[in-house]
Amino acid sequence: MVQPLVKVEHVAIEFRSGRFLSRRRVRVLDDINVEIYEGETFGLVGESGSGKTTLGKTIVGLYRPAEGRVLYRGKDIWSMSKEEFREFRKQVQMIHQDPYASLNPVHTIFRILSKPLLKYKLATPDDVEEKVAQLLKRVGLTPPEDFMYKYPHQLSGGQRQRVSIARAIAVRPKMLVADEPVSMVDVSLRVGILKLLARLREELGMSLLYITHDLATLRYIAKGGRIAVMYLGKIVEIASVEELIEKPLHPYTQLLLAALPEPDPKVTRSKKLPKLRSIDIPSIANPPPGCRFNTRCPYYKAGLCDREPPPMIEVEKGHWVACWLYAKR
Amino acid sequence: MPGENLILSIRNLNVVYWARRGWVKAVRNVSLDIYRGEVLGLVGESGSGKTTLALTVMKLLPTNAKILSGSILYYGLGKAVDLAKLSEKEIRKYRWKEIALAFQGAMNAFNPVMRIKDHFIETAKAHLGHVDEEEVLKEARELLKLVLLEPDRVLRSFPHQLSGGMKQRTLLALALLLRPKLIILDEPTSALDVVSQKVILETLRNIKREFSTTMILITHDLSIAAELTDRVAIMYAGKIMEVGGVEDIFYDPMHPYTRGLLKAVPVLKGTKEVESIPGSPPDLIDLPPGCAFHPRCPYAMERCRREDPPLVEVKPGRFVACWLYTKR
Ligand SMILES: Nc1ncnc2c1ncn2[C@@H]1O[C@H](COP(=O)(O)OP(=O)(O)OP(=O)(O)O)[C@@H](O)[C@H]1O
Ligand SMILES: Nc1ncnc2c1ncn2[C@@H]1O[C@H](COP(=O)(O)OP(=O)(O)OP(=O)(O)O)[C@@H](O)[C@H]1O
Ligand SMILES: [Mg+2]
Ligand SMILES: [Mg+2]
Repeated sequence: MVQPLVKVEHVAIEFRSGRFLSRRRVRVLDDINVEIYEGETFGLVGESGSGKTTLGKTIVGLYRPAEGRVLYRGKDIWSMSKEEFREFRKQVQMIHQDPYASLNPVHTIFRILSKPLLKYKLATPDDVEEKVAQLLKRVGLTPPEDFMYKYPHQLSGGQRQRVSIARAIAVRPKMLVADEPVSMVDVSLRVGILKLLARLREELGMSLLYITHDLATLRYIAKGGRIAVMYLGKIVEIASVEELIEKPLHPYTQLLLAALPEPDPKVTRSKKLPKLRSIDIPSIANPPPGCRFNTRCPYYKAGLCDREPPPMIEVEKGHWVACWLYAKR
Repeated sequence: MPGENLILSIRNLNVVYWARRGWVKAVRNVSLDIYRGEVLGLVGESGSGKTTLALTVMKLLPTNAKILSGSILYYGLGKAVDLAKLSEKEIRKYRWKEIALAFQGAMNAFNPVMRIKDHFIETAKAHLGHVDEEEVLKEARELLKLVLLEPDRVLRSFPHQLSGGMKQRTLLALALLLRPKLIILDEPTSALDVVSQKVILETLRNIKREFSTTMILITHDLSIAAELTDRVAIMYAGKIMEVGGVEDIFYDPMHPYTRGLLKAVPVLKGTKEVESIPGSPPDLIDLPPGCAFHPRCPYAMERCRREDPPLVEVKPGRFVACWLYTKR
């Protein structure tokens, strides 16, 4: 068996919420299990608030699980030595949704990119300019001289996101977590960023965890990879990209696919929503008992779905689903 | 075909903002007709001037904005009225009662300390003067049912007790309260989950059927335009680049920008190759000479670098602003 690069084991994440007196813990991730292999593209899809960013941040070591473990090359990241943890943080990089917020506005692009290179001794003061130029070329910002001494606000959204990507790959990570990297980029420029990420993953032999709410995009970036579908802090289905789109098993995945509008009037108008018990998503602070989708699910069975959470089972090789339609009690 | 079917006719409209670096040319020479009972999609990327155009029609532009020229003829009350020339006092007769605007990001427009019920009552009072509160609430219940909400629960709630999707649907009901003939929806579904989004689009379709309300649907998302609109206008850098029936625009795009945009959108099934448009949108303060799209256009010719092509009708109902289709 190949060892996964990252393994998430029964992870729960909790945040404190509410005001002073009513203060309590809200569990936004519950019993999450995922394995990501070296060089693999893994997509994480789900609606707003389902916990995608939280899981991404947990994987890069920004949140500490209340339960369960995150293993990097078999090692629990929260029992690593300071040195090991530092090395781990270098090897697993994250790029965020908002390139405006994640780049320091008073620093030039040169300063932003030279910092990690010098910090990790991947460049010396003598060759740092050349190394930064190489990075800029690598992410398609050419000629580099045109960008090096600009400030983030002087670049377009797409160019800014390319700078964030350059910064993340500067330290030659083994894995890149990309959290909705194109949602704030102009539609006409998004594909360019997706292709860049796919190419860099291949060239640098990285794993790519791509987080999005858009299944259509995921299909392009994660070709040949796998997807996990999240709903209210749980993973409900995992399968290869092709399987998941052609043969979705979980009623929630089926709903996502049925609801997604498409850029084709005939196709999109022929898509109908299944009859839902309720349109609205329950609050994560008060998740329904049993299967969390039970309050909306068209296949809801009283006494079962609202009682016990369904186990994750492998229905076909590599195709996992957590739903009582497929599991035996 | 114009004349009696027309509800709004915009001609040669130019709107600018004064910013520190200079004049932002947000709406450039826009001419657009909207017909009774249709859903017109106004599609363009961020900063292309969609919201500015909506605010201009409603005369709700901020103080640093200026209508340089053009007319906005409204035909809803029989004879043509040029909204662009009306005073603030005069426009009030039209705003909300004749033409309503559901603002972009308006989910946050509710007053947090007022129950939803009072939002309905206040809106009616502000425009109709003295009203029978029970009548208003009866109407509100009907409208809330139409947008698939539980009327009594929603009316009792404070805004923060509703989810984003519920707020967005409530807002639609509120915008419909005064039965406007034309409603402008600025990104009505952005920031919503895909299920709420689909529900809202289906609701809008029902509203159109029920009340034959005319709608302008503003979106940057081609898929949403595909879902609901009858005709589509494509905007780029403040200008309308192409107008046509929804199927014409999607299955037979003419303007190179429309083609590029369609090519850039991933689809769920099939083998479509996706590609982005090279370059990035221009600075509206310092526009390139000629056609604003020419620096990114694969077909750019000498003339495109010098002269801005006008929007011309190349086939019945089909308008394109591109020298490829315009005879000299
Ligand atoms: N630091 C935090 N403190 C408290 N609650 C948080 C925190 N971060 C996230 N949450 C809550 O956890 C839940 C999951 O949030 P998360 O940002 O992971 O969702 P997401 O799937 O990334 O959504 P989106 O698509 O909107 O980015 C939400 O209910 C959110 O309000
Ligand atoms: N109050 C303002 N002052 C100065 N410039 C403005 C103002 N409002 C908008 N602009 C500029 O006018 C141009 C058009 O903006 P507008 O908001 O109309 O675009 P939009 O198509 O609605 O974009 P989005 O899809 O992001 O909502 C942009 O360049 C924008 O920066
Ligand atoms: Mg997120
Ligand atoms: Mg806008």
